[in-house]
Amino acid sequence: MSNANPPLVVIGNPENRRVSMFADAAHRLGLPPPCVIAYERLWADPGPPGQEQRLELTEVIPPASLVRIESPGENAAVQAALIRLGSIRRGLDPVRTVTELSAAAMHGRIAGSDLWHAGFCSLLERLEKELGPLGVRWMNHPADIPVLFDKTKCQSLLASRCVNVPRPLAAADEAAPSCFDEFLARLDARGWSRVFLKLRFSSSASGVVAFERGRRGMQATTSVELVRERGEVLLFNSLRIRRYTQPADIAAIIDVLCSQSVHVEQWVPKAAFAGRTFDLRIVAIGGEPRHVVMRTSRGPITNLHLGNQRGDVTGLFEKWNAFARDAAWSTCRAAAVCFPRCQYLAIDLAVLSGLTRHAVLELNAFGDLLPGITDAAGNDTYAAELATVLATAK
Amino acid sequence: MTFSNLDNFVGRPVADFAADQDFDFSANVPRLRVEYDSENTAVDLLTALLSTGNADQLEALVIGAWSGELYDDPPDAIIEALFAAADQLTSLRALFIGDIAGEENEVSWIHQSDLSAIWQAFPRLEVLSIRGSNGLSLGQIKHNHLRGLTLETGGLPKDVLAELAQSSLPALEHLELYLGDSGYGWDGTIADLQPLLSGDLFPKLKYLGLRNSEIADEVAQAAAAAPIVARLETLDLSLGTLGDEGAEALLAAPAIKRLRKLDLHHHYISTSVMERLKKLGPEVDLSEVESEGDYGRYVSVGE
Repeated sequence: MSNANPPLVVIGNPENRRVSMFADAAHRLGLPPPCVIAYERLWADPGPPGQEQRLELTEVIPPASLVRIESPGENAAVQAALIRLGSIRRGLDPVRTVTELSAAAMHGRIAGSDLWHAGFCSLLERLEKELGPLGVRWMNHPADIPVLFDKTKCQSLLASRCVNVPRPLAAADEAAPSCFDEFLARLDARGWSRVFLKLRFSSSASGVVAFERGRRGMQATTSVELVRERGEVLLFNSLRIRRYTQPADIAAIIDVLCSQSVHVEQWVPKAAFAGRTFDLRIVAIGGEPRHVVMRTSRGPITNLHLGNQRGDVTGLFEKWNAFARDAAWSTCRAAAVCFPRCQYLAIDLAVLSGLTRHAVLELNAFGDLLPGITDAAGNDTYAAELATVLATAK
Repeated sequence: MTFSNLDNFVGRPVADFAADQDFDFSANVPRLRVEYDSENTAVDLLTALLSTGNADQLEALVIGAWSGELYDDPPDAIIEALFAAADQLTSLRALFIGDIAGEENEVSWIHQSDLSAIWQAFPRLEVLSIRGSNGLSLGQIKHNHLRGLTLETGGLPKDVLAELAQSSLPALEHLELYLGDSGYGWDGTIADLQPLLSGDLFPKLKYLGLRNSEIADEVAQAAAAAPIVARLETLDLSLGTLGDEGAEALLAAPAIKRLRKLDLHHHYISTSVMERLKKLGPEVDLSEVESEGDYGRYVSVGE
């Protein structure tokens, strides 16, 4: 396939295995190594005055390249830069915001997720504006990525296209709750007792709370760690799932999360398999479900980096009614159709108790890091994505 | 662990019963389970089940979530309807009340009901399993045919143990109790268990499960010295906080050696004591070795 193939470009954090795994996939397919543009090089270096350097994208990216935008995550400097961009976009003092938030974020604190998203939007707009005229092809279009990172907007889009999603607490024309008291009042109004509250703009289960209440009280199961320091409430991302039962603690957590914008939806009861609750991470490539990981847990939060385990997909498929699975796969295709400019999408799909119904819990723009998972042809996600994109390009 | 919906009950696969679909009664045990977003109730499902013409053949029945929003909702209506239908459910031998998954409601939050009338309503019942213990009452327990009784709870109230202490269950072979955690409803002490261990009750008992206990060491010590163990095939002390203290008591008890099976899985026993347990005689399940973290020992249900 070498001659007619476009040059490959990855915009990402070069130290991240996402980038190296993509390069490995290109190598396996006999493609030249991708040109890697580090996020860090996209901003002026705040170093010595007069020696600032800003990368001119048009100088390093060949025309008609195939461009892959990777996750900017797991890099503190990039995170700070995005928060800075976001504060500029929102008309806040960038120096102060970055001082306050980026140091916090570097220590795993949940802070500034809304500004981070705003900054990422600015950056993606710039990429589209500067690279669009070069006639590049996008693996995932920069205008779609912000929507995939906005849980409220994304779930609402899916619902409008008749894709099964959990019912949101807020109607389309309604704002999300701004504090814990309002959150509870809204639950009362709906008569709901069990919901998931998530940061509207985040990923990797950061700031996710499974909230439930009953006659005996309330409970929040979450990856958030609550720390009170000199009268201030600080939230940290933790690798250990915690359970809070004191209303004051739960209120403190939810108040802080609400201040960064939240998405709240009904907690759909996920099915169990072999005694463990599960959902499916499905990567759809070219609109077709290809790679599947079963994420199993003892509790409501299934993300694998939180001590949970991969499950036995083959075993599930043997037990899962073929019609129900076909329906779930159709839903994945329908979700992918909502983003026709994205060549790949990661879909978190809940199969409900009873193994007949299902719902899309989330879409992820960067959810294709699934080491060791191959499709029927033996390709990992990166190789499958590349092969699909290049095949359709010709 | 959290509870999930049953795959099987009394050795047969469980499937959700739907009012508008055919159900294979010969292959599956029906479960009356209301979807989380449904306005219907389990009573609607029972009414539909009774109208299928299979009611008098039905040997086993599972009652799952009885309404969409469970948090304020005891199963009084479905229990009442079930008891009222007893004269139609003439073949019923096995009943599970409360097959509610952790994803539907926390086990320690499940409301139960006054089930006192069950013993007279279903005199041929052989297996009764109940999940959840808030508001649970078993009344005066007197039943000549019940072979298996299981109470799955986050924490078993001592009032229910007191009812069991006064029970007459001459045919009982299997008694399985999730004692639980004081944060989730366990309010008893070892003294509340003593009447069950004395040997005065349950002459046919083969399996005794005192599971998921936050005082598992004390339970093991009491069980090791208990007259009832002599008639058991299996003693199940799994899912709790069992450590070396309780394990040493088991090792020292002659009656424990004669068991067929000793289930201790999910425990805090040290390697050296585990080695000795393996040589004790019975088949010993020592899987799920837990380690004490910052917060000490945990029972399995409730983590």
